Amino acid sequence: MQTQRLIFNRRRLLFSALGASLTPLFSTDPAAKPGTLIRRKIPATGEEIPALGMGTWITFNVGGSERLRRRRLAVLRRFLELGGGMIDSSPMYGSSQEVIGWCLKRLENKQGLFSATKVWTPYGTSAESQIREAAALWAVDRFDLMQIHNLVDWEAHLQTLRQAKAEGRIRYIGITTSHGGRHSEMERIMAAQSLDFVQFTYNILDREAEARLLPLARERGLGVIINRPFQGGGLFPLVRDKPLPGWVKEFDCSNWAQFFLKFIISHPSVTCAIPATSRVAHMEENMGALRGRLPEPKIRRRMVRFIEDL
Amino acid sequence: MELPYSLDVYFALMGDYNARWLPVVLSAWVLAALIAALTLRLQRRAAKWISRCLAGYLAASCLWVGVAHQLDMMAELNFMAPYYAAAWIGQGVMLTWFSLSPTGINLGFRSSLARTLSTALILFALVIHPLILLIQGYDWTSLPLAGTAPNPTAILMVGLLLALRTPPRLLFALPLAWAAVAGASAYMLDHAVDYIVVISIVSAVLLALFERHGPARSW
Repeated sequence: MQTQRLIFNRRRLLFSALGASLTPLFSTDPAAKPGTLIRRKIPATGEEIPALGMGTWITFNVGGSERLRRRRLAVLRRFLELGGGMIDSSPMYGSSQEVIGWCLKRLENKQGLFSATKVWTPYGTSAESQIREAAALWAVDRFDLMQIHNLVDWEAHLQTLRQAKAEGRIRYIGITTSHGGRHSEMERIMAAQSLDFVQFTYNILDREAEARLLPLARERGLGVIINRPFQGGGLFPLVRDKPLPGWVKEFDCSNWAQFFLKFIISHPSVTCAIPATSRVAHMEENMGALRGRLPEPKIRRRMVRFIEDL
Repeated sequence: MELPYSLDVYFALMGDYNARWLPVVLSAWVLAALIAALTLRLQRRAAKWISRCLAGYLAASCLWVGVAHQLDMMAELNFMAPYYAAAWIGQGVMLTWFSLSPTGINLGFRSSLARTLSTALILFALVIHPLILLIQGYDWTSLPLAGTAPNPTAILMVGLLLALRTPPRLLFALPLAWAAVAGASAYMLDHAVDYIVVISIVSAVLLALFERHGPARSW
């Protein structure tokens, strides 16, 4: 355990040094080559992860049905084949963690997986057991990221997470919120506490985070995970039967899912967006946003105007 | 607000649940139809016996829904399911008491309106609700049926309770609470048929609780 900790600390030190001295932490590289995966640096260490991950809210909560689990396995396999990294879940998501573990056991190649889950309990003392239970469900030795779900009992949980991180059972720690809730409290925690990641809602319709959370995350050197990138699916009805405007070619966009996702991951403070899907075809559409150019600020403003005018 | 599962997953798991418990599911539906028929066409001599069967059947259904549907099937999908299970089991315990109690519950429609609504709700729970789902395109193997799935069981329950001369008010608490759950689910899952569940239950509860006491027709 001690050796592992030493190796981990050395790796972290190396990443930190690289992160501090090399290119700007949040370069969006709008001119990325078509075949290159878009990756983002985790500010705390400089480690790079793909800018698209996968959420599991609702989509992976399929209970014990083997038929449905096999379909999710196909989605997860395609996600990793296409260069995806972060898989995000929570004890709140019903059977999702168990289904993820079931799928991971059946995948030959799990390279690139960045395991992220949460503690979700109003009792600070039970966070430790949730971490252990999650590790058993996912069948992983340690989590890349452990977050505090919806800031529930965050003060007590943060101590537990820091302890687990110090012991090498967690690599990064973070806090989450969603649906635009509790931004003020999140802001206070971001300003006062030492964290690696924050997760909140941001999309082309819900841009409240642009005002304070995203700039603060950048200022504090926090990785940013974006949930509800499609506003819970609510963005697609807005563009149903509408053709993509011609100017989307400027950022290599070929469908509406990529339009919405590229808007998010082109924000300089965003580390990773985590769309959720239960269909392979949708996963393929989403993951297309991980390649090609990203919209520049001028185009991003045009994207917002376009959607607001609908 | 969203539920942590989708409608597709719910019906897929309902298919597995029905397949796993097929003899129970079919027996519960047939028994429900039998008890409903006896209740609606009840005979003077058999009334006490029928009322005990009615309470006993509803008790068994509630206990089954609580344990098999909510705890065994739904708890892995929905963190609220254990609380719902406790409510269904509580209702089952109360109904067991009424089915065994010496005074028990007495059959007798309080009005022609009560008889009409009772008949309509029982028919809806047993036949129309599954038919609507079939028309909506759900597979017959995954239909939630009265006696083993909560929505049709709740409707059947209020329909049968309307056939009581003086239905204990406490027995309407769970159906009313379930109407709230069904309404929230209807909204969050965009599943319009569940609004009919709400309307059915609420109308029955209102009639049972606030109907003026006229001369009860009893047997």
